[in-house]
Amino acid sequence: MTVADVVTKFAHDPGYCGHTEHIETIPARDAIHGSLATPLPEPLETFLSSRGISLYTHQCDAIESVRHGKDVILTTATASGKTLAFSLPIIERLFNEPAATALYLYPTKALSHDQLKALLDIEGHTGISLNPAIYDGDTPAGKRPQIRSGSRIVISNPFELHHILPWHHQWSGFLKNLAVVVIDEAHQYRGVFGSNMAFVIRRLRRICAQYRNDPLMFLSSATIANPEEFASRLTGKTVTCISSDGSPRGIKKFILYNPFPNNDPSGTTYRESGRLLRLCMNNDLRMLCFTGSRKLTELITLQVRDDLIRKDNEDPSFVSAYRAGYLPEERREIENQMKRGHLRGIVSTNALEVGIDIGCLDGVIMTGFPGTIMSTWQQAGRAGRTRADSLAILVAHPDPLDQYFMNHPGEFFRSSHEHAIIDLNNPYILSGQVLCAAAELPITPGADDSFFGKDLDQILMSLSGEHLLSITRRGYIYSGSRRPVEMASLSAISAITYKVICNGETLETMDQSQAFREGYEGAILYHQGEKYLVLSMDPDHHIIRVERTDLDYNTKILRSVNVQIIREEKDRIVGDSRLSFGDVSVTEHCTSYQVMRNDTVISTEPLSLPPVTFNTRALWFVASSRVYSEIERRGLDPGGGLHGAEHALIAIMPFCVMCDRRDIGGFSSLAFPGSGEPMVLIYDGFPGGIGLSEHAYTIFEEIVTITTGLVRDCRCETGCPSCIYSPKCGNDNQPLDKEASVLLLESLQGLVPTGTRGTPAPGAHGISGENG
Amino acid sequence: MISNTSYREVSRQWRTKINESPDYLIVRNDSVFRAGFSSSYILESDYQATRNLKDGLMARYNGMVVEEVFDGTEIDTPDGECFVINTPTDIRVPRPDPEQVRKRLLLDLTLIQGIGPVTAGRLRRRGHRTIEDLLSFRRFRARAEECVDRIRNGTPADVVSLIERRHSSSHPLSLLASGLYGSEAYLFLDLETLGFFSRPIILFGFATIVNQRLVVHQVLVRKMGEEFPALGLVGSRMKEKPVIVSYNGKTFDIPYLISRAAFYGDMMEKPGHHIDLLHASRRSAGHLVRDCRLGTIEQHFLGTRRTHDLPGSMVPEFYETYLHSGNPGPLVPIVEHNLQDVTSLGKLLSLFLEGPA
Repeated sequence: MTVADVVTKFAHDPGYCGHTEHIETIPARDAIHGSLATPLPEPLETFLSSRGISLYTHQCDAIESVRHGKDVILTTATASGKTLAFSLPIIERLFNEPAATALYLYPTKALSHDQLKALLDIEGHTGISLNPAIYDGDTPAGKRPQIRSGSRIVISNPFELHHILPWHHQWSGFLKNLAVVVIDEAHQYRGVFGSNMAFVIRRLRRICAQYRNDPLMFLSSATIANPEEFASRLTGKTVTCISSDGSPRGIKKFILYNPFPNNDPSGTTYRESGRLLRLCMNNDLRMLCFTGSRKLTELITLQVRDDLIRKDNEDPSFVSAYRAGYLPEERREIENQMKRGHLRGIVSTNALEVGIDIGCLDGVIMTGFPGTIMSTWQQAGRAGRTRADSLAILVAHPDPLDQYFMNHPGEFFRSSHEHAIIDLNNPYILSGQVLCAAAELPITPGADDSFFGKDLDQILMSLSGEHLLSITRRGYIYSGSRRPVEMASLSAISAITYKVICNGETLETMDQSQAFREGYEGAILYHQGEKYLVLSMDPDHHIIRVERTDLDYNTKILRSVNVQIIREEKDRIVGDSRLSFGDVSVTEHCTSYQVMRNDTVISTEPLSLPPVTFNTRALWFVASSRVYSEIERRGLDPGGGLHGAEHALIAIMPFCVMCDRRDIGGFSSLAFPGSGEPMVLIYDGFPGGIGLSEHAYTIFEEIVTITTGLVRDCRCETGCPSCIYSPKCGNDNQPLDKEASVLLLESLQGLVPTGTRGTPAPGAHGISGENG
Repeated sequence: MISNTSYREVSRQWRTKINESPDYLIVRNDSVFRAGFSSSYILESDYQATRNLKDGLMARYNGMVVEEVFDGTEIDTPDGECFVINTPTDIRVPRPDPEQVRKRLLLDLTLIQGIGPVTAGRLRRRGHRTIEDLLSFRRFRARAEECVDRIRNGTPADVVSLIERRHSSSHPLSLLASGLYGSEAYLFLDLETLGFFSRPIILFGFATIVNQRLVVHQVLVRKMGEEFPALGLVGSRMKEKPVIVSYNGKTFDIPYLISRAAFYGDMMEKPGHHIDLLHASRRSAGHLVRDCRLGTIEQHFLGTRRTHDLPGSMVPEFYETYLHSGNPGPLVPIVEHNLQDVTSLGKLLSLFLEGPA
């Protein structure tokens, strides 16, 4: 059987076709080879021809860009030869300039090891001396001096770089000659982590400038909507994009599969995933099935094994689970079995999304939308790495975005909406990074504005006021008694951060409001697909202790949110309403939590946490009096309309502004505190804001259009988890009114509802909040 | 743009975070078993005592300025002003007789390449007591000639490098050989800083020998702007003095100075000859003492015990209090602590030079 045969089943077999919402054919593409203005150095040319490699156009473009000293971002598909595209021109440069060096930055250690292997291979075959080495937290102290002085390509990660920079004088030789900095998997540097990373790179560039050097930036990334803008914000340089992909690919059939057609609540995403996996495996396709968590991975594997025996009379060892917790030997054994062909299906958490080669796969099943279109294509790209035909199946959850794609396949396959956001103005990140920089080299206001922005002077003054910085003839210097790089975490935002600790190991850090929302005693916490129970929260030492758990319930926080607008920064007209953006103060009070088993509330437990107030950035709009009176005229609930619109907008926002749904919060009220107007407000869930609502403000029409489509076209009657219900609503989804939500959203598109003009009913209330 | 008020608020939060998480660990109830593997811990009782000490100093020196408390002089350097406290002491550092030194060195047969302790023992038993005795051996003649020539006629640097070819720089003979430079060549160095790394130096303690007596000079950073000129001043003194004497300076003080110079964009060279008394102490008494902190070693070799000494880990906190309040009181024990450290260097070196090699 071939991919085409299986696709036919999806289209016509009664057991499947009722759930198949859409089959997209992504056409095959032939390789487009390019040529270079001048050939590469002879050892490299020999290496390429011995491997039978002939360069694709985008690889040639990349090589010429580096030759011409241009900063670039390469956004071609998975498996298009990106590593070679930057390594070839870098090695050429190192060949021509015997002192030149390069720095490769990877977000994870696993990727560093793959890269080291590739570089050692090239070095071995070409004889060009690179001495590539990994320099990270695992590098033994004894080896470090030799790497600093002898390695010409150093592979590291942002966390290590953050800690290395204060020691720059030990790296003076390397930094003086640093020709190119490679930032691979650059799309991972977004949000809080990315905004910190942007300043780590600026600190590196500032130090290089001290050594009279200005290294080239080479970024490699998955497809995003704003590659140039993103890369320029990340590096502080003008970056051009290479996106025309010369690599070949086979036909890919992409199936949108909905276990919940017509809002049938009896469907189960993971059961359907398992059933489809079996279908494909039994038709001789080699499959990879992605899931969101370890638990689901195990569940699907067990179910498929069971059905293989009972229903298909097949060998259950055709399928295996694969997840992050496995030992390297176990992983390698699974990879080998897959390559040899005994294994036909692997069920995996998202750990396999990048890196790790398991040979030729025929298809990929995604159990639920992976959160971003970018990840979706990364996962789909795991199948058909060769030129053969391949299959990708997205099995929908009942969630709004999943269901939106099921109903609007055109939107799904359209070019990317997702903007990767980096915020260079968050005062917490900015001041923390300025502290770090001031411990590396004195900071001069004016001269260093190009790295830290126009507020630098104010920041320096404020930090000096606390004696954290001191002015000297050479500029501002750090004068605190703690190492700033230890205080300023790259993955957290505020000065006060909680550590989540399991068996003495730090899993992650949270800022205070997130800690109160997710890390209260008794909470069930998810980390990389694993389930944890919070044992205790120590507010004095900012420590949350957790243990791994297999408890069969989840928890949900109940809280009240209050928002005050501090300052409106800008506003514009959107449809019938005025859309505003500015600073707000958010007070969240977590009062109790619910213990839930399968959507059923078992109990409600009280919490005694103090309210948390933080300042952040938000967008907001007031319902026009016209739509308000229309809603009332039709006997609908205006409060439910505002609340439903808020939920739906928050559900759609991650599709346009790349973020997690829990990174943003919402608030709606019939009588907004202060103004008394009926209003919806969406804020960044981080102190100081992280640029999400600011970007949403600029593309609000697009978000509204998609959101309206979501709610209007949802097949439910009165609202459901696929449109206006929020699983994380702090008010238990009360009140909600679907029809009123649609009217409100349409009014934002200027689709004037019929009816007479009126004035909003004053004094009504029904405050709602979600940090969804 | 976020308003200035919020930068002030954020700055306050950073300050709170620093104050809440010091570099040291307070061991509750003085239970040393709780200190675990943390290298800088402080017993709760000592912590309380130092807190009381600080409060007392704050009260006593309230309203005074640094210049009233310390008898220092302001020195102009090309990079700005420095404040130096000069303290003459009556500590004598003996100047070894160069002739005696050279004689003593000639007794070490293992200075010849190819002669280890075993061969040396065998040769001595056969009556060959000095390197000069080996000139009659065909096997060793060439090397012995070179050795004798360098020890008899070489510059101090020549002799030291000859010794260090065969012995570590903390070997008693290396210390002895350094005596050839003459005591005026020594510079004793000890820094007080705001932390272990990448933070400013707040006090540069160094001593020189004038008329065989140790004179301590302490460059006190009154405000952060003075660190840079102080670096320049100390750097130029180090260039004048070929032999640096320190306690753990190979690991700490010298790399720290170099990194601070690099911070300001300047290069600083490693000293030509460096006697690190930590290594020498560990070599001769490491197995006899519970740790090799300078205070412990002093007690062991010199029999002196420091009372009311400020624990090194509390120095940053005391200095920060001065920085915030302008009250020079908390500086008093820092300057005193450093003075003791620097004078101990002189005493320890004398001991090693006089002691049986």
